Amino acid sequence: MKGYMGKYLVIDLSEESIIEQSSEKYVPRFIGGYGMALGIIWDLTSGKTLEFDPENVLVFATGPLGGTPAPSSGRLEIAGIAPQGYPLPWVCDSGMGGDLGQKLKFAGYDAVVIRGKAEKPRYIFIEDGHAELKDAKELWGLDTFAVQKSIKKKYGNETTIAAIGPAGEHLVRWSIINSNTENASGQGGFGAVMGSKNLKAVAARGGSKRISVANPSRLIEESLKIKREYGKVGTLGKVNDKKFGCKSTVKAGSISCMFCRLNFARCFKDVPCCQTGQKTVSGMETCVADAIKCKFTREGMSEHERFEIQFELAQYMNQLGLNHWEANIGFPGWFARCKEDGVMDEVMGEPIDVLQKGDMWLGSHLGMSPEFWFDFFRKVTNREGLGNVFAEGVPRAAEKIGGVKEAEMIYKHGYASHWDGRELHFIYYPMWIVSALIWAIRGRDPMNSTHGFCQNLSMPVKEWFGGQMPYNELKRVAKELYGTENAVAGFRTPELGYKDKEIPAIWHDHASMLKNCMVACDQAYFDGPLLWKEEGGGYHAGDYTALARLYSAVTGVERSFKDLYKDAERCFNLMRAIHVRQGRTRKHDESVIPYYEQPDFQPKANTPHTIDPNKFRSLMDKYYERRGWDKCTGWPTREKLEELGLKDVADELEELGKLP
Amino acid sequence: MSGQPQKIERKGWIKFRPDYCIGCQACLLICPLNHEGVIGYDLSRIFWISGGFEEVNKGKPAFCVQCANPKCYYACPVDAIYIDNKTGARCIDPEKCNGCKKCIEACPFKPPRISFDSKRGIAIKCDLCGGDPKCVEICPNEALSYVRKKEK
Repeated sequence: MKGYMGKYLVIDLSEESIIEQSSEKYVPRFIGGYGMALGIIWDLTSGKTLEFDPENVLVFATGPLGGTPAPSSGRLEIAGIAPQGYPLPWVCDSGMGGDLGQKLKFAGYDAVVIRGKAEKPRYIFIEDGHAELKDAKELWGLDTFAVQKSIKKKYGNETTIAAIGPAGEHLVRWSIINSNTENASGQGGFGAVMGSKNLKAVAARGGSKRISVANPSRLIEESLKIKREYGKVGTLGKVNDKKFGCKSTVKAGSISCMFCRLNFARCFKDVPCCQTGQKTVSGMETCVADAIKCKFTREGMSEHERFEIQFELAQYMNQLGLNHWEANIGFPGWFARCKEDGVMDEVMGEPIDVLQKGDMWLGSHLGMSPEFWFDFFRKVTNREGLGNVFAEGVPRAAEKIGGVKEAEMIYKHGYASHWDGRELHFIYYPMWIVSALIWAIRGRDPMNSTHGFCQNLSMPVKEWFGGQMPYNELKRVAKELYGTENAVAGFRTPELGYKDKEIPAIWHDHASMLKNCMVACDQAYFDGPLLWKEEGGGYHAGDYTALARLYSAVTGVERSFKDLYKDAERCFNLMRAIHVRQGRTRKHDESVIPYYEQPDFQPKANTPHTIDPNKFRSLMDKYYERRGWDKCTGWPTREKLEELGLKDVADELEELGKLP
Repeated sequence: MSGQPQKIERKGWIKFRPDYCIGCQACLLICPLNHEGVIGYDLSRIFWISGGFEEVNKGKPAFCVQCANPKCYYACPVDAIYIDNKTGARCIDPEKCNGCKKCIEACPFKPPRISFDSKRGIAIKCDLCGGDPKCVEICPNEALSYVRKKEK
């Protein structure tokens, strides 16, 4: 089928074997990307497979839009049984931008599946229709930048590498897979999965393979249309930001990526270092790195000093291979709560100093010095002293040294909060009811690929964030998009806060799955998109059918948004089936409730500030019912699975006693 | 057209402003899609010069400048290269090209701004898309522009 390369690689590190398989078994049935990875994970692992077992598989998957000029479509999905998941290592995905996905396609592969465990350190080199296992003895122990430099030196600058640092080697549960300076598979702890397999890097140089496109002129037309739509909403980045003295330019790098890069990305060259022993460090920053840059600081620093030390810290984490989200949101929030509750006064000898109480618990509001954080990250990476405990991530560390209750107030399923109206993002009731429902079902943080609801529908609202659109207009948009204005009702009529909220939750479950299958950028492709205002007219939902049009142009198979929504539902149910096989029940889903019993951040709003557990449980009932899942167990029914063409999945679940 | 290089009027070319390039490679990918209907690195008339790791960004594109003294045009032994009347682009007639690569050798740039389609065995180069260059259109940050000389 056009758009796909038709083959994927299975690399068994134990057997030292590399075989090619036809992609037909998985695509177009599971679209590509995360969907394809889920199909492979279902087939190659069992419910008993654990994160660090050689039987765990790590899938690097591209999608049908990868390597085409469709804007912001060049992402790569990485998925497997995730060390960061808690209490069980829930299968999840963590995508990365950059150009590795495209290189894999031009080398001839839709995906690369890595299983087994190498006897000695290895890396994988892929080029033009073949792959090799290489000796990584010299690379083991190096940071992620040094590994990439070394491999590029050998194979040329056109080689793209995804590598782990010492954190991944030491199985730190919040370690990343890093590519270039700024692209990372951050959540999930997949760096540790590579470490457990003795795999240091995956490198690809592309090749002469070609991507066939069914309808080139339509793809060009659609790509240009979407690019123009960006122009409508985006503010294009301009060059030469010399604010910080060091050489800096606004640059970007993700393939076909036009959104974050234009809006957030900045390159900095040769920034002086003072903590890590390097003379200078260079790197690109996008949104999350930019966020961490603002956080760890101390009073009395000049803007320049603050920038330099934070930049050094952010890049140091990339080099070690640590997850910015954990460092930025998880650990600081936990430390602050532990201090407040009297569970902990200090960390590794550094007093916990809460500068600002009762608001966000970010690192910026902790008075702990930047020097402390360098030391903390170094010790975690090397599992030195207490670093060995923190390397297990907050929920597991809390089990050992206390602060379980405090951890539960930030973490669910093993991941710190994200667009839920409490820890990090200030969204209003009833928007966070939907966020709670989405998070309940997920295997990681709730809004990693559903920014469309909480972020994009909230920010323009006048009453909430001082935007231009009155809240009443949002209700009209909701009717257009979801078929009911109840999807966002509750702000003025609190009694409707739980009404019909399963409808937008499921809509965004599927829209986000679709993006992760294509694989397209969440911020650029709109799952309930940026709102547009017609000249002289009202607001309406953005171009949410864009992916369907691009997919049809590339593959030549005409699929409407509705058709692809059904495919995404198949993928979503497969994800659920995998979680059920791992042990997921409704009890795990309900674990989000105590988190939302903390008040939200809108004390002035005349709305409920905490979740009503009973109403939320009834809402969950409706969610399961609408999905065709059993509401007692939260498990998909045979009827639903068969409707989606997943009879084999239903049969296996039945054998395991996990079919309701 | 073998012979001594002479000046041939340039009517238009792609202008690249490196400071505005975000490295997204959309130009590189849309080029072969527009010409061949498939996408492949070796089919693009645009060349990607990958940056080193220290360069931080992922490199930059390089374009044919439609030389005033088009050495490729004079190097072709079978007269496959012609000057397009409307755009002034130095173009290759795929029917006439014999794949000898003399034009690629003659190109004064590094890397040469003429590609070789290994499957068809012919040289391919920028023809300014007949006056509607898709690379310029897809560029999200105005790094590319189509410069046209005014008719005298």
